[in-house]
Amino acid sequence: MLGKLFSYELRALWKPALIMLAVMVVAGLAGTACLGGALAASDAAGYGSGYVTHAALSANATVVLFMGALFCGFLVWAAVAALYVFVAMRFYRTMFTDEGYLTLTLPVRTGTLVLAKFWAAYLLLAVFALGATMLYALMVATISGGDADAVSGVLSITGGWFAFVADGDVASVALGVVNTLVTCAYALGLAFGSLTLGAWWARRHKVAAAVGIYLGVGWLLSLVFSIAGVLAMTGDVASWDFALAAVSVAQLLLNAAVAAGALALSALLVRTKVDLN
Amino acid sequence: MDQFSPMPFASQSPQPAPQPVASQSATAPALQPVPAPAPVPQPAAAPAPQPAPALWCQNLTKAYGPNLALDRFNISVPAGRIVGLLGPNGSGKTTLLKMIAGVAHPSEGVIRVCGRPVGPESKALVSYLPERPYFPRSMRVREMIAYFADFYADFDVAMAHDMLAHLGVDPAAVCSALSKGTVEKVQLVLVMARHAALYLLDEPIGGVDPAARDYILSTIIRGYRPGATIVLSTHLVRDVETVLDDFILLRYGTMLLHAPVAYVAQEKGTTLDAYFREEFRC
Repeated sequence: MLGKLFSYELRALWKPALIMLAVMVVAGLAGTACLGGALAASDAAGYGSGYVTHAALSANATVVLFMGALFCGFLVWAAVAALYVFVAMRFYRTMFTDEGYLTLTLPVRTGTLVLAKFWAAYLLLAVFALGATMLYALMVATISGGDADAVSGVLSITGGWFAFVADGDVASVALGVVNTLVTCAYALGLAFGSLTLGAWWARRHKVAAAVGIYLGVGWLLSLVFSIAGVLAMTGDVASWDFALAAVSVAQLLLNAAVAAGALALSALLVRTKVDLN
Repeated sequence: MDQFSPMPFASQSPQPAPQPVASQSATAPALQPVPAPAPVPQPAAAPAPQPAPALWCQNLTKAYGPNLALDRFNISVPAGRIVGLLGPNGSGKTTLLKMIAGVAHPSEGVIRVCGRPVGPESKALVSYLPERPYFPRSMRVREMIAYFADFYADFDVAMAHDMLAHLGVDPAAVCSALSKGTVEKVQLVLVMARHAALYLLDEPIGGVDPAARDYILSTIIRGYRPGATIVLSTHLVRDVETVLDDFILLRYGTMLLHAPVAYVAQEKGTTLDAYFREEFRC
């Protein structure tokens, strides 16, 4: 039954997701082209072919192309954010509004329902997040003239605190990818859990309540790990690298735990507490 | 109709004459109260195995904050009965159906559908029609049929198409292009095309035209499902009383009366519709 539900979810999501993916890819490629153009304009103005320097920005064409690249870079992440909001709101709509009458009367366990929605949304979000990272890497490769260290450096940034000790090697890039995948799960789990809590607690303005819960919990967790990271860097530790890596791994594990816990809570509340209006 | 057993249906033994069952509530002065609460059916303790009632509720209570939507509701509906759930607005009819269907949760009390608690197993046995449109507006009718066929083993695709053809609904139509009444017809068809143990119909004919009402009541409910157990809530008492076996009167979440429709004619000398209007006159 999980496979059948998963298949229905993907069928419902793929069309809008494809449009957003197209926007993301086109924006990423356009951004890359803009950066390439900016470099060419920079070369033509005689500023050299290295990184776009402050001086190069004085050339109008370079400025326009560089701003265009920034806008395209924004669009890439906007597409990821749009997909995230879309899948979260679909979860809410199909579970807690009138469409919930269709979903919650199916002869399946609520845990199976929640998991099917999670895995379908997660698959798409992971593809989008990794795709966006690759597009950024492409932009950096363009602007750095194909510098492999710069590209792997960008990829390792996604590794959270570990990026501060990463030197762009394969391990740090792999950790960045793993961290991205876990962060996607965390973000989706937190969204599903918050929406379920909002649907249960709030008598009115349930989505607003869910957003409040989401921001509150998300902020609190981020604050804890920000403090932990700063303490690791400034504290009296034998090895900063080790301390930051430890904080990074701890955050990774906690994010995974939050995702699993939020999904379990969501399934439990739907099964025992949440009433449809 | 003449096989009415008073609530609770702890056994299937026929009664010599229709007997009404009233609640303990003081809000039903004209009715005889029954002091004893409904006993829990114990199939294992019975000398011969009795089939579990299609629907059994004990002390079912639903509170929304300080407000009681349903107050210690007891009922036992044996298989094969068509029961009308009647009462004014806010009497708890929809809340009761939602809890049986598993989309709302009781504050207290127990529900059993064919002996099973509310959950995936009971949902496989219950075919529930909510009072509102609940399909995604972008879905086509045939996609809805495919959806039901995929998830419900007891769904009869051929019967669904047959009912739709009689109601003049195009299976290729998109839900958003259908009128409110047509959407209700489609939803009713999907619900009634299942071979379910219990049908819960919340206002099944509220939004459809009188001609379609006749077809729905006489053909879909009586014709396609002659032995089905159906609990339906409606305000259109006159339209449904010919298909009902029993009725339940609810007011402010309390059951006033559970009796066969024949009881009203025999004891009150009137129709169920007239009796309802008299009982709930504002």
